[in-house]
Amino acid sequence: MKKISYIYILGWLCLQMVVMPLYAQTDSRNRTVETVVQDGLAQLPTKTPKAYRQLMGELAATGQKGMAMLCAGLVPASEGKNATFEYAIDGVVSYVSEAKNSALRQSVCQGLKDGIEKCQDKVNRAFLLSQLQKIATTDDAPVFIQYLNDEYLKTFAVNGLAVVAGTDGAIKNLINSQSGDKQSLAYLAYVKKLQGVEETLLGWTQGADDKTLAAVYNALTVCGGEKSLAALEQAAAAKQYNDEPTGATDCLLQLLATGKYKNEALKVAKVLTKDKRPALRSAGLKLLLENDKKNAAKNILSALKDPCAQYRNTALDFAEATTDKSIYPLVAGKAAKLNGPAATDVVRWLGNHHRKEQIDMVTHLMNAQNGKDSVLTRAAIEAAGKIGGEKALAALMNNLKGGYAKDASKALLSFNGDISNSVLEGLKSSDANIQQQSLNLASVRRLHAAYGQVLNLTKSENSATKAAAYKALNGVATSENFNDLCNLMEKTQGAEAKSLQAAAKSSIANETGDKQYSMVSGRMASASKPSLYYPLLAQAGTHSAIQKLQQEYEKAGDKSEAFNSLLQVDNSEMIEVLYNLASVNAADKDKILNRYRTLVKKSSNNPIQKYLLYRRALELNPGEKVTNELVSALSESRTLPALSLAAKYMENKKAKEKAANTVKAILSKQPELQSGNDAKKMIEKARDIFKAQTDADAGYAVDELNGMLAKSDQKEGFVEVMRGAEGTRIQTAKEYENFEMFVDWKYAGTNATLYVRNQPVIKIGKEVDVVQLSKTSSQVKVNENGWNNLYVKVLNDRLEVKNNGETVVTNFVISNGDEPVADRGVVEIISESGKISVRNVNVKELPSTPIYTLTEEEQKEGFELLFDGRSLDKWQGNTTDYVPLDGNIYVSAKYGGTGNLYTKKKYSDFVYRFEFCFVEPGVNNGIGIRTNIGTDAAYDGMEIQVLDHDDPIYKGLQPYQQHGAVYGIIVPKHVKFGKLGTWNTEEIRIVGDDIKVTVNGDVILEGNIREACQGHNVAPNGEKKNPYTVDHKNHPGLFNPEGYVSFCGHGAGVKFRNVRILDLSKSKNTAKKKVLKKK
Amino acid sequence: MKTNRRTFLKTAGALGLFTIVPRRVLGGKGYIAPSDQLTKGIIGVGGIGKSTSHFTSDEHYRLVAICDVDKKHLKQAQDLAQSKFNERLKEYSYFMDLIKDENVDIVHIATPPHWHGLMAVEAAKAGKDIWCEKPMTRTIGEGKRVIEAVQRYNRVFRLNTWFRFKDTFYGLGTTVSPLKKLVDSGLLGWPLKVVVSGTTGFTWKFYWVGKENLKPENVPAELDYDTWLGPAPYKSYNPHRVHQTFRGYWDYDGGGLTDMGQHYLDPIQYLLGKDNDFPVKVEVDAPQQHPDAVGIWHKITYTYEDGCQIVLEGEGYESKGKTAYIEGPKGKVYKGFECTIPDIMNKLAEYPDPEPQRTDFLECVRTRQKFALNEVNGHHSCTLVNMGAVALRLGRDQLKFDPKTQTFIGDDAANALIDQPMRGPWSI
Repeated sequence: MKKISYIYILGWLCLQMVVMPLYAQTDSRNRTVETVVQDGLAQLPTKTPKAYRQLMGELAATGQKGMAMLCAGLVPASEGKNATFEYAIDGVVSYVSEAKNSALRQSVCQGLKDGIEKCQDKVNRAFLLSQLQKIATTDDAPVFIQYLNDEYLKTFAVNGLAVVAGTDGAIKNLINSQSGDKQSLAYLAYVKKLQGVEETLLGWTQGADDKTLAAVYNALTVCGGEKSLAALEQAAAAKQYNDEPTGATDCLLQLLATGKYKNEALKVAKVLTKDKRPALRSAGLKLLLENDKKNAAKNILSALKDPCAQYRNTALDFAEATTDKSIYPLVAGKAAKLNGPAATDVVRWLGNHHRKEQIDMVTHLMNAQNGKDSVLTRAAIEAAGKIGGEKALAALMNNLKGGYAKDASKALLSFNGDISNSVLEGLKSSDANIQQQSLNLASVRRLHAAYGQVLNLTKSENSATKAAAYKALNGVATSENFNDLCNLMEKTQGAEAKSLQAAAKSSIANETGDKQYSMVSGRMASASKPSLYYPLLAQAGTHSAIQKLQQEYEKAGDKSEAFNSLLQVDNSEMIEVLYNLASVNAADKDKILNRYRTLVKKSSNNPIQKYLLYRRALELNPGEKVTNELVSALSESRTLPALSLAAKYMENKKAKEKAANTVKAILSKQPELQSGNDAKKMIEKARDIFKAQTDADAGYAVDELNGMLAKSDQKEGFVEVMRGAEGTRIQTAKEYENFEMFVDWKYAGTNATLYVRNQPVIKIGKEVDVVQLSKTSSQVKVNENGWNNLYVKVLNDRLEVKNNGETVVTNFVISNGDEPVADRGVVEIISESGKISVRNVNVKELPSTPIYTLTEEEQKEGFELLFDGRSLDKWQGNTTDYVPLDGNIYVSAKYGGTGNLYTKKKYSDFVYRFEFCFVEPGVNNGIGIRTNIGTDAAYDGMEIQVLDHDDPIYKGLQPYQQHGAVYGIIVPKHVKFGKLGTWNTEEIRIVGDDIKVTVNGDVILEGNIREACQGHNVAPNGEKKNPYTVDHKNHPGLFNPEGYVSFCGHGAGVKFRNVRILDLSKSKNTAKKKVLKKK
Repeated sequence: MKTNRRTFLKTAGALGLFTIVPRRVLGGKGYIAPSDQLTKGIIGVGGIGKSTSHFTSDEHYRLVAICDVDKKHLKQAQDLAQSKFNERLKEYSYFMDLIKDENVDIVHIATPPHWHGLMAVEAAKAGKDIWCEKPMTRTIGEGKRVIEAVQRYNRVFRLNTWFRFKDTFYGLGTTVSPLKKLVDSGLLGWPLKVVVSGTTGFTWKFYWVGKENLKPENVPAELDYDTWLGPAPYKSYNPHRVHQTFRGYWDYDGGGLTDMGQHYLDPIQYLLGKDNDFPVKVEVDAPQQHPDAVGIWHKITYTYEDGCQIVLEGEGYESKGKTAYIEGPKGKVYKGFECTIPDIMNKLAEYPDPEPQRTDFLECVRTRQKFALNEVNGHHSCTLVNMGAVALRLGRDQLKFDPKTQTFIGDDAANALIDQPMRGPWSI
């Protein structure tokens, strides 16, 4: 289908289009409304904002007609799919709802209204009404009004009137004439805050049911005045201000909240504040404060004497808003005389508002009643911490000595200001409690300056102070204190030694690992108890430190300290150490493997290596919890081996949920693993496991897995062809041409060789490498002691190999000297002598590479193969989006190229044969002939349409746009295509002006281009409209004598193959030449 | 809603005129003074409402009533109550009946988001305190109504996301508190940019999307679908709309952005000190959205007036290379509290901890103090996600917002999504 037309739009034509864009039948690309709509639909939903703007702009420009067409595309939901049309309608409406696009709004709106009128399905009509409300204006009110009495559409109509601006007058008329139900009308009055309807609304309350009353009362909160107030007050009072179905009380409160009715408000406030229900009393108090500002302060103070906490706090919550900042000293001034709970409220309030100037009252309350009111004291401490300042600091420091030490300490930690000097002072305090708390604070704040004092306090006679000082060393020590601390540690016993150890450790924590190791090993050399240094070695974490720890572990009698330190080391070298440890230490296996898992996760191992590492840990049979964690961790390895291992754990009752999760996680990130029978069974199993769970994620998991099942194609997937085997010669039962394979294998102790298609290709020994020397391969080391994983991919004539995820070779041509390589063969490993073990051999067969050749007849006739299944070397232009894949030219939008694909040679008279296949609905392409590079073949040369023309988006397609048409010139016979994915054959024969198109053996078009337009490819007077062509357009290049053959359009989803051409002009020339020679 | 325009078939007969705050006396052993025990009822017991942290009772706090529009959910919840507490709970099918139950002090709203605002307002009017699941409300306007009602009756409101005050913040590998300390210290400089992305430890749950072309199906007998929809526009029933998968439809929620968004964004609002502020701009890069089924997006960026930014990166659209969680002119902090400022822990130790927050909800109810995450800061962080949803739904690549009026600047269609009308007879 012609898509792009740049050069034949003449300047004056452009001018015309700009002048009257809304009335033009075609857009700036010379497309009809139908074409724009069809093109647009084929590209929805758009993937990027840019594409969205472009496409919606084009669709919106089709105005009334285009929008009506889109609306007409909707079908009842049970009968078909509407999504594409919904995207289009919603997109266009949203687009024109933007101020900058408002010029297009009216015509789109008109189209939408046409659509609503014609729509027969109530659900779709409701959808369209909800779209209309986004762009409708005053004049459109009648559209909504006509559905006010429709049972189904009523709520949509009401909402439309509610949302659309400027419908006030229409609603007022409805109210005054009482057309429509009162509830809906009252609701509209409410939304629009209508004035002048109060009388009518009040009238409706006479004898009304609760529902109607509720709606009317609601409306009165914004539409009502004094009369409404009286009515609401009466109604609320009659119901004892209960929260009842008419909602009179709440509506009364809302009307009063407008602040217009001070006296009434105070009257109601008086009643409500005397109510017993706290919420109502609060509401009353709020009214009182807001409406009597003169007495607000007095009322706040008096409320504070109330026994109800909620009442008091309501007063405080609205204190500043209903008075001003002078309320703080006023309230604070009275706080001392309040009872405990009220004083507590006040002190919290002062703290919340950071009232610095009221700190005296806060500290006063902190110490009131000698701290007997613990709630009050704690609240005051907290408030002082928030307020900050010197006085607060002093008060808090002072409280470190009593029963509130913990609270004061906590407040100091978040204290609004610098506390270090006070803490240093506190260390000198004569009060032991203050000293102890200060020690803690000094440590947390890392006051290095306090080190000397802290060390002194470790000698305190007060045992608690002493203990606190030891603990605090940890925070205040620096590397300068390291030797000092070590000396002390070596001389000390018990808990104190532990504290010194922690301090020594943290004192050097900021040094490099090597520096730490040298400092620590230096101390250890002469230490009587080296075990004291194990945690420090663990912190150093270097290779040497690990070795040292291992040595200590080996020789120690009590291994626990070295063991615990080994578990602390943060270095990926520990992965191997821990694995070995777990293999021999059954009692601590889970603990070790848990750490092992953490380190593997953090490590830089590639996904296959992680799979191998997790797998061997699982094979040590850890407990349930660790097993589950390892199975979850497998999802970090988004690979086939990890997937197939996780799938096996779905059979394990205790790990199946995590296993299902891992299976889903891997499959969703690696869709190519979803193919095949093995995968299908996995997906079904995982889905059934999720089905038994009730949380939201499980619901979506079932969805997602069902989605995978629905999408699962007939393509081959991985199949486990061998669970395990051992021997000097291992081979698959089947022969393969193209395939991918994962196999776990173990080194045999001797070299082995891997064969594919009967060729020895890979050496498998201590390294994996290609057999034939290659500059591009790299030797990859293998794990000689455990399992390895080998990946082999053979495609066409190429080989790719990885061992443990490391690439050995890629894109390597398999060859056999001068001899051809066999088409296929078993995959075989032959060892020199040692037995090689393999397991979980998973093979995925890849499609054979199709090779197209000319038939004998075609060869004789002189056809030339333009695409043999492998390369595009006879083509030029957009080779980015036209990609050779599986033997086809595949048109894909994913590479983002531009333009068409052209032959390298030009042709004049020829026979062009090819096969094509639609893979996505609504696909649009075309064969350009006698065209030039960079132009629009439909007008420069000819375009023979390639179009999935029966897709619903092409409802209004013109006959001259059908598949096979000489676009705009000659109408073909309608071709009925098979379902998506069906291959079709086509032949285009053009000689001079005669053209013939044959699809699947049927001649669908036979004609003469010159006769078709009576020789007038361009209108005689240079008019834009050409009465002689079927599409009434000019086709200036129709009679080009020669040109390229091209593929036009780059909408994704069509494949071509087996493309060949017979150049008739060439054979004519040859014939001519022959004749000349004879002469 | 002011008062719903619906007839209550069962008006609670004796609405306790003279009850103060009613408590339920716990029977059996371990008698607790009734005044010390608070009671709650949960509306919505299909998913989160049945979770361990919510479906619980102890001596201070007792679950007494449940409500659901699906009889299957009620049955499952009763079975759970039987096995956990060895008792049957008071059971309701209509939420107003639970709200008006005088034995309930605290109403816990665990329904899909399109009901949150309305129920919170009703609970406030009935004098109940409120525990509400995230997102707080489905629209910005409903959030404003909740604030008004909660303050009109001085209720205590808790929005249920908690990362601003506890727990490791998803994949970030740290709690929020040290980050708050770092931000407040000024060591990173100002303004800051925060990136919520797969690379910083967050997943947007792009599988929480809706389906297009849903076929109408028969409503199961156990479900009161009309009430389930409530204020949402009437759409034909399909099981994918309800229960576990409602998140994928704009009428009820907005996919990962709105359903996880407040979990992720509320702590950032706290970190940036924006609890009383709104961004002035939201920018969206996304594929086109379907009008009904929520889709995915690439990037959403919020900008505050002072230049602070919050950037959300969709799954598969993460920026390349190592991404900082918070970036300021003077330093960056990555996942796991990895910071470009050397020796950061020691430096930070010199600064005060963040101001304490009130995180004991029951204590807040008793002392009538605002909970750490309440109707006000909750509305602000919920507005972040709702601003994003509005821009997404309208295909706007950018919307400007006026924090003072809480309206979008120069975009009527966007403003129409602030106060969305409800399906009669509901209104808020």
